[in-house]
Amino acid sequence: MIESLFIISAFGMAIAGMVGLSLTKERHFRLALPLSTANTGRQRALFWGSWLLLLLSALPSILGWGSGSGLTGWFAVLTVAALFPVVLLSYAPQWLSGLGWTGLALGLVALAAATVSRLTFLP
Amino acid sequence: MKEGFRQSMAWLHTWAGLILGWVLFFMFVTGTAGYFDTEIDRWMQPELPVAQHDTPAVDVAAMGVSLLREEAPGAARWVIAMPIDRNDPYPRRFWQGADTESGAIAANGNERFDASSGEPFSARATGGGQHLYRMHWRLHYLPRSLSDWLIGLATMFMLVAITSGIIIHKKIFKDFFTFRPGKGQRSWLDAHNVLSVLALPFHVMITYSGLIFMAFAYMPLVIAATYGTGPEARQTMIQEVFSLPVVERSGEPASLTALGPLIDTAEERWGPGVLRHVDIHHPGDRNAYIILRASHAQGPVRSGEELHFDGVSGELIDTIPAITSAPNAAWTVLLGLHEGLFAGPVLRWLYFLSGILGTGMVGTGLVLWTVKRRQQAERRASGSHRGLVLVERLNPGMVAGLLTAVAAYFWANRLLPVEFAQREAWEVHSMFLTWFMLLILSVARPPARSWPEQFALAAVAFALLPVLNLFTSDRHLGRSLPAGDWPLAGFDLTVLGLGLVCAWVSYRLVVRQRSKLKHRRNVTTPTPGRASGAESSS
Repeated sequence: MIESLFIISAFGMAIAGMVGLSLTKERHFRLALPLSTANTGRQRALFWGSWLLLLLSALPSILGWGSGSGLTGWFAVLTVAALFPVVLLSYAPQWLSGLGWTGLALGLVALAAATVSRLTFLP
Repeated sequence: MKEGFRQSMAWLHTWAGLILGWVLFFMFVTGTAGYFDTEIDRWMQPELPVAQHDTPAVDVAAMGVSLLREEAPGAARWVIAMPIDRNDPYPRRFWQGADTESGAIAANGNERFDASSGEPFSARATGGGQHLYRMHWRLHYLPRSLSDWLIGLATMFMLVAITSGIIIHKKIFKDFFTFRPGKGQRSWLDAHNVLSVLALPFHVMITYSGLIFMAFAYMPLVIAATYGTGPEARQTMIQEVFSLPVVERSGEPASLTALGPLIDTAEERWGPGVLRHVDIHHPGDRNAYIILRASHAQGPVRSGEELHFDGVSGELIDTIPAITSAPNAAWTVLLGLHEGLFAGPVLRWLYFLSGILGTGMVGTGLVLWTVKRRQQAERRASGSHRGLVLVERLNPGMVAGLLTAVAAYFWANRLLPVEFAQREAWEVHSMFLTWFMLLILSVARPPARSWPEQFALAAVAFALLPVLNLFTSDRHLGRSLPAGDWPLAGFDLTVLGLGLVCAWVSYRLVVRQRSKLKHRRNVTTPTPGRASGAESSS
């Protein structure tokens, strides 16, 4: 159960990271957020924030699967997460930023929940 | 050099890709199915009970030994394999070098047994998921020496295709998330790039480790240089590389020690459900030697610790760590990652999905090959050359036809009578006969028709498998879902899903074909001639 929460968290963070990264590309940004204008400073923050999230998603992967399987799982999580912006950009770009925020929220909430329960149930 | 590095790489990528692309597609399809090999086994033998993971190791070992005493007296080796995870649903006993004169039923044997009753299972004969999985490295109908080299060449070319593919992909980061549907060649290239780049870690790992698997077959000289070429050389090498213990039979009888305390020692050390093999060398001899082996599926390291005991006194003699040297570690990790035996449900699905992405990468690569050449041929207006037409006509049967053929393998499992002689062989024959007939059909039809037809066939063949299961077993979805029998339910739901995906692909192809025809008619009516049509699509 706790393991599943960590894995969900890894997916959430990785999806948020991949969505963020896709929005740093101007073409994708215009598709997904046609009403907003890209501002260089914000784009740069988005770029580094997304990379940070992608790297951070390794942590819940390892906590959920264990060290060896966790690294294997992390690569798979990144692959699956990257499919989301690819598909949404082609078929429903208006959902992209919403998915990013949902992923971020889910990732952080699941990570917090999993960490709290692990600390509570630690023998 | 007239052409640049990138152009020459493009040439290499294209030709290496096509020639071995069909072999690779076959390898990816059957290999991906292999990630669910034991689940497929269960579906193909629906008579068998649910997996027996919860039986205590002590009981399984006791049952195994009592069976082996009956069946295989005087054997050089008895092995009892525990049903610890999805890789082994039932216990298994295995023996070598038994004495048929003193009552053994066979010199060698390998049988599953029921953990509680000890009875052998009676179920239909089938190649199961194991055979399907084996085809991805062994192919079929070919001698081992030939298939090894064909597989090796295909894998090597895959490595070449990946490397050259990365080099010719100019905007790997800029186009990381880019897929533009409905744009002909552009879309196929996007799809090919996305499938390749997103699952690149998997593709590189699976290809490289695939080569490592067969290293000894491809590089015999490495062994020859160190160990010589005599008949003993290979044995010595295997002995040293895999550090098998060498024990000789003494000829003096002595009774085997009780296994219970040994297993307790192992479980204290490893925890429950980790003991995988009880491997008894020379049972009943004074030199009896017992090896308890830990699971090799605890992580990507495909190797487990071993405890070596004296088989008579029960004394712990030696502990062999899971990893004995750095090269040994690299070897076991690569093989472990390739096979993914350690993967639990979520990770196993991710492996399966990565396999599908790889299948898609090879499939889109094959389509791209023809799409690109077709455009060039139309632009040159010199007509299409014969090779291109043949590849165009073969591709639907090679790609979608193989999917139907795999489904036919499952259909044959249920439709061939249980008492049918050589059932296992005919399951596979059915698969290849189906594929062969679909290839003929594919060549006979124009590609624009053939693609949607072949995918529609695959859709029907997969989606109706749960219905077939309903009529030919009592482990259909109505039973397996309420019982929580996930291997069976999962199989039915997965093939249903695959059927729906194939149906969707077929539908999309029909829709696109129609709109293309309409488009062409609209364009060609005012200005007749091909050139306008070709321009509008590029």
